[in-house]
Amino acid sequence: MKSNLGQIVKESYSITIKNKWLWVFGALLIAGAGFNFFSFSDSSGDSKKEYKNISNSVYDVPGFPMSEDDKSRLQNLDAFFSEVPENFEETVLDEKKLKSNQMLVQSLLAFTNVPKQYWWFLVLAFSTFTFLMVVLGLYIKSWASCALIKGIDAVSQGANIGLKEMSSLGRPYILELIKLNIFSTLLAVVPIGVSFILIIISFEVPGLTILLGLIGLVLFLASFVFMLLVFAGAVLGKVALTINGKKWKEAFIDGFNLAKAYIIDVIALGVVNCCFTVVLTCLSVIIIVPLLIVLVIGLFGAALIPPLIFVIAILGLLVFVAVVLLFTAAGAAFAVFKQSTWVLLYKQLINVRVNTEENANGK
Amino acid sequence: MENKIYASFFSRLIAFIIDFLVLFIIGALVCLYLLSFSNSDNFVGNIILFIIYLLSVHIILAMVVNTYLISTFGGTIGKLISGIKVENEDGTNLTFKQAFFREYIAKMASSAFLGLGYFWLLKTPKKQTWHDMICSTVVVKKKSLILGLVTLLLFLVIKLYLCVHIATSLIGLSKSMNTSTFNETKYNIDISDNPIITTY
Repeated sequence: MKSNLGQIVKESYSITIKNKWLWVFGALLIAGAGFNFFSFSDSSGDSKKEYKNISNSVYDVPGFPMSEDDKSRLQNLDAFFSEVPENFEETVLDEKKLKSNQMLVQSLLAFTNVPKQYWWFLVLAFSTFTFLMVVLGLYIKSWASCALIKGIDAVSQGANIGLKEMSSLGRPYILELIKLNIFSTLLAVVPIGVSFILIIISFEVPGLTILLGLIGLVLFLASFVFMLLVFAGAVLGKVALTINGKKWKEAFIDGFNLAKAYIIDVIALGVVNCCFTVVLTCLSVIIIVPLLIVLVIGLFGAALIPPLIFVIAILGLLVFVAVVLLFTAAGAAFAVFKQSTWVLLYKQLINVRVNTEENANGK
Repeated sequence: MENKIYASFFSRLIAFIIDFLVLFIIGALVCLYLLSFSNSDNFVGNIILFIIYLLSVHIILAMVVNTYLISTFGGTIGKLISGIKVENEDGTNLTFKQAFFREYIAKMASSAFLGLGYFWLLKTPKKQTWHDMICSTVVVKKKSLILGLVTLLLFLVIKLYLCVHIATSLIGLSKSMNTSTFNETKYNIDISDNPIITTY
């Protein structure tokens, strides 16, 4: 290992604690980190009961011989059920369901009455809105990232830096960073997608299932390792782009080569950051769960003594605000810490590379 | 030279509330307008129209208009009515790009810690929030109530005209294009064939 992880962690901690303005961009980074998509639950299971031919299943039960009389009675029963209309359940058994079915038909009619161009305009408006929000989200995330890296770089050199300076120093690199992010994501995801497609195809080709499946699996594992390398390269490239002002392609190649050359250091730092994430998550659970229990007990207590409801509600609100603030601050500080570790690792690795090159040239 | 009076927290809060109310009232008026001729046949269509309005006019157009107002007059309608103005620290007006950055990107920083950045003006000498600090802007007091009211009136007229125009032209278009297919679609579904409806 060429880098000094202990020093990186120590220095990152000191940078995180020293300049609280960095946390603002850390908070922006964690706020823009996740995109939520609506999930739809599929409840298309057919729950309709079968009323017809009930007796069929009991005609020939092994071990239970049936008399002719029983059989004829069962056949009569069958005849009776065959007269039951298809919509027996809806019409007779369940009036609520009947009403809901009628409402469903009415809603479907209402939807068929909507002119086609309304749907087109809706799609257009929705697409424009989504596009705008995605672009804004990307821009804000990249801006926060650039500003944070510039801020960390300045603080690590002993400078005092404010919001304005960080923002204006980071802004020139936003577009390049967006390009780098899009490129690295595509580069990481495409091989994984290809391997998935290969695995799916292997199930469709009976003669070659095992061969194609094996190739797909090997490709998947290789793509996974490649994806990790690409992401590590992208993280280091981001730092190279912002600190050295390189173009996105150049920065990515630089970061990728650095990650490839010093893979152990990169993996070690990744593992350290993962460990810190796990510890932070566990800590947050340890704090949140007792608070929730106290809040629930408080609410139950308040339900027994009505005048207490207001007190508990206000206390609950205050606790909620405090918890949200605490977690945002913790998350932001951790984002700063993580970014600092990568910036410092990049600097150390660059120094190592320069020294190695100088030594080689000297020899 | 420095005789600027910086806007207080409350005047900025009032400006925000006015901005919110203007958009809310316009949204409510459009909603009422669409509801006024709604029946079971066109109810879903009107809901879709309202969503189109929300996404396009209410959000996207409001973004453009607000940015334009800030870069041209120094404030949104609420700010102009409450007599405050956004300007650069050197007293010049913001450009369109600067105004957009301040309103829709830098304000995210102020919102990051449950809006802590907005309250920051209580402790800075120039009464700057975090987004003001990021963009090097200040909000100062200016007596421009009349300008604000005129802008509000113009904004209301233009926006309502746009909404009504879009809605009526869409409805007219749908009527003229779908007179034949509309009825066919409607009556092709013969509900008397449907056992559920029949039995009910």
